[in-house]
Amino acid sequence: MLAVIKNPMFLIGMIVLLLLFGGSVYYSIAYDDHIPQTFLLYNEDGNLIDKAPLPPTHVPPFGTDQLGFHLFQQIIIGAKYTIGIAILVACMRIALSFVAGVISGTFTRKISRVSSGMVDAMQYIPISLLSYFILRGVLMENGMEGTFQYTFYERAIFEVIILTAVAVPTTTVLISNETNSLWQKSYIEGARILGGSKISILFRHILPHLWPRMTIIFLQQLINVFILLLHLGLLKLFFGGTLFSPDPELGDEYRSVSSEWSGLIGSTYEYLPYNTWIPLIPILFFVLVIFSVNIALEGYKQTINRQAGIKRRSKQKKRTIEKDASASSFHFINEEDYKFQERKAVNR
Amino acid sequence: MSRGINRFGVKFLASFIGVLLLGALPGLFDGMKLDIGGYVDRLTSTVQNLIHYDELTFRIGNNQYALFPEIFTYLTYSLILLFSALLIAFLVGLGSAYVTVMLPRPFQRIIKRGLFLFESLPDVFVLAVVQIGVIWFYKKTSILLVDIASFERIYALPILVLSILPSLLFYRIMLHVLEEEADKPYIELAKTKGVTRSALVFIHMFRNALLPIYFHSKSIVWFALSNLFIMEFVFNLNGIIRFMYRNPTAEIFTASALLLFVPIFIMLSLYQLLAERVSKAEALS
Repeated sequence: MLAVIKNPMFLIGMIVLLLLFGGSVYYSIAYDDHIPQTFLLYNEDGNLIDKAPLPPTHVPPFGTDQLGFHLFQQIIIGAKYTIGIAILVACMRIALSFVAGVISGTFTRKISRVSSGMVDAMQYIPISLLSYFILRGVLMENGMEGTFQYTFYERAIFEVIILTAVAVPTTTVLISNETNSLWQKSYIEGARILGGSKISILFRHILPHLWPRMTIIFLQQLINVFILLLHLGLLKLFFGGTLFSPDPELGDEYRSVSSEWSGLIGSTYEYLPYNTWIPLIPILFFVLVIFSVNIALEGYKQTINRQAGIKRRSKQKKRTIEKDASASSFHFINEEDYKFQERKAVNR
Repeated sequence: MSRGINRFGVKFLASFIGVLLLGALPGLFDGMKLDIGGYVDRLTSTVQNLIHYDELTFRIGNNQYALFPEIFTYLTYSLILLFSALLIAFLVGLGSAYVTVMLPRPFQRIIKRGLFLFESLPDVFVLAVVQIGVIWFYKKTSILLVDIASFERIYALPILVLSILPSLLFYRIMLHVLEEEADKPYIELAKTKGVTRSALVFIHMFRNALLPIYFHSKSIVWFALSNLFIMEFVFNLNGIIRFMYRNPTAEIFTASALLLFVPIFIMLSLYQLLAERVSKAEALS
């Protein structure tokens, strides 16, 4: 397990995430989430040269938004919300589906065609659209009255619960199948014959093999949540609520309650053709975060494969020695057979 | 035959009911409270309304229109985009996987290392870049590649954009499956018999790879669907998913979801049957 920390790719991904998150927390403690504002820009002679929105060339590193607030600080402040929410939701998804999946994978033979078919139904509806319909009533501010029906914390908790719930069925089926295929392995048969109870086999032989898979699924879910947040942001549903002021003349205005990244994108996406950097910079940060999770995932997979590879190689060595001794290829046939079962297909 | 009906029929019915149940899900929440009664009410009223489907209407502005058959123009547009993009993605993935497998080993490793970088790109980023690109091109040459604000239905660019990310996914899956296939003993046998490498890949390996690809293709289709949604939204395309978004009633949501589900299900089942026929194996799930 510790070997993964030595993997440079895993390390880089994790460090980027930690830096963004830690920097964001530090900024809010040390500077109290202060956002500097430059609305009008003068040159050395005191002549006005430009007004907000100012491009990154005038106000490094990322320029300002249409009201002159610096984007860099907004990104830093938003990081802890976006990353924190994603990790929280992914953790809850995994925890719930882990419990449900392991139980159903252990105590039922195979998930019936009916229930797996019902869960399959989720694959035919874009998940962002479904979450949008459920969340809209709670998160969108009532434009006419300018009030929310619920407090910020209620809304935030509700959103976390919904974002968790929409993925739990599919992940549960995945983990359940995974557990089930572990139970089918021949070494479990051996443990059973030796008299292990179902619970002790579960803890001693099943779960240790499940952990690496769980880590991979966790990281995949993390990416999934980031993309879902991005989509919801584009649909103008921001985390913790959307301030909505209808304005028939200048166009409706949507603002985020928290300064989380998807809010930065959703409220400014219309500026893409003219002031490209305003929505593009938060999008690029999403790319950065997803990329670092992906690179960590890749590093983790490499480590796991390498460990498995070492084991397999040493096994093979042993087997050739055995083979020389007994001069029979019995083991090989057996292994092919076993591999064949692992495949999800059977010959007719 | 009856086995086939059993396999696909049960799955179809289960998914059908699943979509119905999901479609009524927004009714489950009254604000933040769980409202089981409201959910059941919404479910029954949706089903009743769908039985009398010819009375359903939708609004554009202040005008009311009959939902059927108008909805089919939205549906076919979305389906044409989705299916052509998936087809292109499949072929592109296959072609590049073939080329990659023919390359020497060190190159293969570099490509595999680099590939996941591109997979990290979220669809919103790809769309934003395309939009910026179109505008940049317009400013330089004053040729408008796509008229994003128009009411006409455009095909070429959306299909291309939609096929980018699924192509990468297909490519990666195919590389992975072909690599697994290459370790098998029958490949070694074929090699010793002097079968050429490209015959090996196309005739032998690819046949067996079709079925494993099927297991992954489900999630790729789902991914493409959510891509399609965001693209319809950003490019203002008159597709069915944007139609669902614009007409947020329970009946239209459920009806559109069902209409989307049926063709996709049929396509996936056909592919499964084809893959099973070709590789002479049967999928268990």
